[in-house]
Amino acid sequence: MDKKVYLSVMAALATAVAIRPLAIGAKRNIPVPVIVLGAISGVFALGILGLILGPVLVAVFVTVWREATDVDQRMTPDAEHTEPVG
Amino acid sequence: MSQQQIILCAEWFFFVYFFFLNSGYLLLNFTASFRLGDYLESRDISTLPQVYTDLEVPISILVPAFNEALTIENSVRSLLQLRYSEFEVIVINDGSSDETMQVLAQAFRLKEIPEAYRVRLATQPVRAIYRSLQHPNLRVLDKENGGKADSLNAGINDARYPLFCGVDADSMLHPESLRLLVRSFLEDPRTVACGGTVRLANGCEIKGGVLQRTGLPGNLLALFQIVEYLRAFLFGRLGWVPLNALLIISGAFGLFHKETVVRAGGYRSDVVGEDMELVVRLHRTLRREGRPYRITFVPDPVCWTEAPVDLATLKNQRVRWQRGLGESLSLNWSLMFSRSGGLPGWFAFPFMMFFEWWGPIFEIGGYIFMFWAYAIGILNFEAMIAFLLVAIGMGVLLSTSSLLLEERSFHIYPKTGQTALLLSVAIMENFGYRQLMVLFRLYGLLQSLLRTKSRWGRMRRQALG
Repeated sequence: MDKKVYLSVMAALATAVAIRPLAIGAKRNIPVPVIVLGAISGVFALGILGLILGPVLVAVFVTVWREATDVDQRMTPDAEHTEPVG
Repeated sequence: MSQQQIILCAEWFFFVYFFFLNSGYLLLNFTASFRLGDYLESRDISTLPQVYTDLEVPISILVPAFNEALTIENSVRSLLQLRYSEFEVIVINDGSSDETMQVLAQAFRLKEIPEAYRVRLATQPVRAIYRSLQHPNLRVLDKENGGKADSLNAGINDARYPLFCGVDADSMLHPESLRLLVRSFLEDPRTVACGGTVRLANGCEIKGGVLQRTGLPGNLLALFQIVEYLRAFLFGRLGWVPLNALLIISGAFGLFHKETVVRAGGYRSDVVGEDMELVVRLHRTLRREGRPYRITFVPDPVCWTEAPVDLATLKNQRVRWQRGLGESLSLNWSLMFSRSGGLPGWFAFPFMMFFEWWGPIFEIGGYIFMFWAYAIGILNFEAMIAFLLVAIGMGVLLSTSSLLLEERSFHIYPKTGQTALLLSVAIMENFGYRQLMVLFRLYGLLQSLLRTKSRWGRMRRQALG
């Protein structure tokens, strides 16, 4: 009985571990290799918890980064700003 | 955190850093050798005479000139001798204060013409446009001073042909260079830019703007740079091509698709390395538009230039390169990790940032940390020697393998003695020269960090006001 509960918890965990990174990757448009790298370094840094936290942190970082650099980009001269004059 | 933990963290950091650095270079090494093999195979067929002659796309050659009265006549004459079916040479006199304009007018019998000039990229005002009575494909633009990027933009405005090629007035092109570069545009219509290999002309015999015989210089500094150029162009450029993530095309010689460049905004006149910046920006804008494109590179030695032979000039050059690299990356931050970034955004950009731009900090930091750890007795002597051997051994491996690739492919230094000399230089450069270059780059990096801040401040004020 105990063994069965233990096994089903493990299975649920494994599904979360396998599906979650892919789901995050698809939603935020982050390449799967990067998510996997995040999971691996998460495990190195935080142990088993990092398997889930790693990709999440990567996704948060990338989202914040995109928001931040988008402002910078508007300040640089771009195709929109140098329209044909004559 | 205790001292022990800090040391442990630093050890892991440097270990991970050097691991990624070296595996990155090895990966580039592999992709470059495969790419070179493919290239040489296809070259055997396509260099047969007249395979592409009727299909060649016309090219505008842009020559910015600022106070070049002594050399301009020869460089224009050698450009007019290039072997290509249809091209025009546009010299842009960037408000020279010497006799550049008079020399040109006399040598090529220039006559002012009222030409329609469409301003697509904003530049300093153009005073007059001249045509040569001797060479129908030579035009000269006389404009007010605005820098090299500004002159190139004026040249783009005046160019009539779909491809353009910016040329440094002090570099020398191989007569077949345009043909070699245009092939990548013909083979793949998605190509928007193509760079060429730059080699050093020190020690070579040059007559009338044409390379007569290759040779090696007696100057040790120039020899070091020859090996360095080999390595930089074979791995640093060619290795990125199969990944379509080439972020640098040398300003000395590169061929661009004009409309794409105009749409991306042309050259920026407020940066040191306008050539590097343009290529990174092309990646950024084309990726954002989602347009398929290729930025590629031809490994044949097509452009020859003179290397600085004294330390002061060399230092200036490296500081400028480092600042240019910093600016091109920091002005295009949003390419990194962007939605459609692909390999340039997720791999090449971070690689360039950590290992090329900020590399000097980590490399110098690594050396300092190691000697410090040895001095206070955490690191034993054997471990330090092992670290040094790995660091220097990797350098020797990369230099000698680029030399090997060069010998296998183009073989421009025919004598056995020359190869032996280059081999010994490739090993020697890892003791002293490489470290010196890292120091120069560190200096440039610090300068660029300070300058970038001040420019951001200025731009913010503009955006608000």
